Amino acid sequence: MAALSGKEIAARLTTVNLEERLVIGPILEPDEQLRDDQASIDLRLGFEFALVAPSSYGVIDEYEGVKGALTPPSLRTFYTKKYVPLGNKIVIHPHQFILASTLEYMRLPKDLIAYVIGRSTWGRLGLIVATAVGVQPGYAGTLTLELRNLGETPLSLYPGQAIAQLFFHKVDRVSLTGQALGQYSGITDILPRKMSSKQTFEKIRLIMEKRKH
Amino acid sequence: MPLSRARRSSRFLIERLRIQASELSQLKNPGDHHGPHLWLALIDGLLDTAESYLTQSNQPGIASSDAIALVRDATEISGLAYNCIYFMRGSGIEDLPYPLVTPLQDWFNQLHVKNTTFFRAELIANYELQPLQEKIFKGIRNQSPKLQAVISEIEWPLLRVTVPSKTFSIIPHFAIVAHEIGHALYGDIIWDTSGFSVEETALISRIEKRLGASLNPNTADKLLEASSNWLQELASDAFAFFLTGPAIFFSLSEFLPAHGGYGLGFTHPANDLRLSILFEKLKQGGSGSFSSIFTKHTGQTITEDFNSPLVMATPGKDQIASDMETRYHDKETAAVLAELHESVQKVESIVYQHVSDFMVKTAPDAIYTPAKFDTDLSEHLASMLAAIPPMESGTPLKSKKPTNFASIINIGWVVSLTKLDELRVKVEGEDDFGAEKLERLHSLLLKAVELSEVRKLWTNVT
Repeated sequence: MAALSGKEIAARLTTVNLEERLVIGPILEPDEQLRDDQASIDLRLGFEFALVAPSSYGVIDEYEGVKGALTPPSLRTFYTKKYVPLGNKIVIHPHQFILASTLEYMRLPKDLIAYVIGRSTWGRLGLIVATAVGVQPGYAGTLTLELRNLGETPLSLYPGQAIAQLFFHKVDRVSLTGQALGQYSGITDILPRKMSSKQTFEKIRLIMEKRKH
Repeated sequence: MPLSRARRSSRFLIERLRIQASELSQLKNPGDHHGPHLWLALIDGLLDTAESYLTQSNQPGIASSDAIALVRDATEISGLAYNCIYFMRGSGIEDLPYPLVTPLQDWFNQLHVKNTTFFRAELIANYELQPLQEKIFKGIRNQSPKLQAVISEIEWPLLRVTVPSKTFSIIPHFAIVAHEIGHALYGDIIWDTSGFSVEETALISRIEKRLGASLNPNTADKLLEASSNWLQELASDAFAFFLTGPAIFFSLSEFLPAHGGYGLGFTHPANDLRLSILFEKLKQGGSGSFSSIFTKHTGQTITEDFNSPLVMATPGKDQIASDMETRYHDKETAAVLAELHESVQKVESIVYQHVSDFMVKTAPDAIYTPAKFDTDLSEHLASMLAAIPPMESGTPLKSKKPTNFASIINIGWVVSLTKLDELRVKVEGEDDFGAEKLERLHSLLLKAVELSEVRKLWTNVT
């Protein structure tokens, strides 16, 4: 499964066919972010950040305090959001964990999968950029990056800085013609909504209840 | 001794106000707009002035009466500073999405409105433009250097634009801000009143007939005030129409019913009348009209109640007069409003023509034309349905252009009203009415505004 070359990525970004088109935008400096001699596109740091907020919860537990609940509790309560506009900065301290959005909105066609990799410059400074690296076909939205500063020095992060790179692979045996048009995720919020699907949540909850009896 | 207590109390107040102002200055304002910074500087200048009064009041040898006057004035200025803080409540990014303010300010800039502005949101379903006059601060003697500098820097009257926050902060509705800009520009239009004279005579005659008496000076004043209010509202609708095209029709259709009643009152003409006028404007131009282009791209025909089944129909004139007299006004004012309703229908075209002439002369590029609407829908409608927000236009990567705010809200309205079922974004739960999908559309539109503004900023910085 070969990665798309820079030229192939550029071709996908400008293809007329909407189903085949890879959307990443805005690409503020095309020559800098997307080069023929590379097989990835650079992504910039966006404006929304989320920090784990002080709370009265002893532990993040999907099942705590939800007796009889039909849906998982919201995970939003664990975070404080911060909007940092272009020209401003946020400092990530040693060992701190922050969620951040990419500046670019993207939409993957159904035949491409992508992997987010941190840029090596940041890595050498101790910044880990993404742990959940896979971006599924049909994903649409900004990407949420899980930033952690493993270094010993605080780092200033400026929206607009190149922070990560995205590699693309073709998904085998997917036809973009003659099939029903699929749905896209269309997510622009960086906060996680839930840990489990409703079905999984309910199954585990029922098993837990049975075990108690 | 009592004066020292009053002085201490005044100083205590000033210090607390300084802390509050300092905390506010740390907060981000949407769009990093200059207005709130200037306003905070003005508050600081007021506090400097109050502080200097206190210092003077404590000078050795000062007459007791002078000292009392100074402490009293210092306390009064502190109260004014407190009111100024209240005036700017809701201007932080907690209340109003950061990306929204810059494109709204652009409308003011395009129309050469030089007044200092700031934007704020509050938990009221209301759009409002409130001018604040310099004279409030003019009378303050011995102004601190900072206060003097800020007062000269502000372009008066300062215009505070209020929009709804949180739940009612709905992107396509922001076309209504274009209506508010109309209020700022109403006085700049050179009105040729000869076109109104025939109807004015007929109007007075109808009012007199309804009252069974000649128009007395008091009623004449009411007529003048009400008609001025209504014409300003019509002119503001016209400004919004020329700036945003169909978006203002759809926005007002959805927003006006939230206030209940049929909208007619001393300050505003009836809701359905305003919408009916806008609807007719959408149809002007035959095959090149907004309506025709809407149909070309959606297969649907815009009707007068397309987005306004909840707008209450205005009753006949007799019922209007009865309603007004029963609920709000005296008999004379009720008669004025009932008859004015008929007159508006006869003079609206004159009002719209004046605004059109003003726009063509002042800011032709800001006019949202049917041709732009056509281009926007050709370029973005299918993409939007495939979950691509209308953030930029053009195909080659190196020559993409940011999408204008008026384009984004019009695309948003078209999808919202005609294509929501075709919007290919996943929704989590069962949603019989499509509200969750509408929420997703709203997020995508906000993202489009944010990213188009980022591209503008990035491109324009040198």
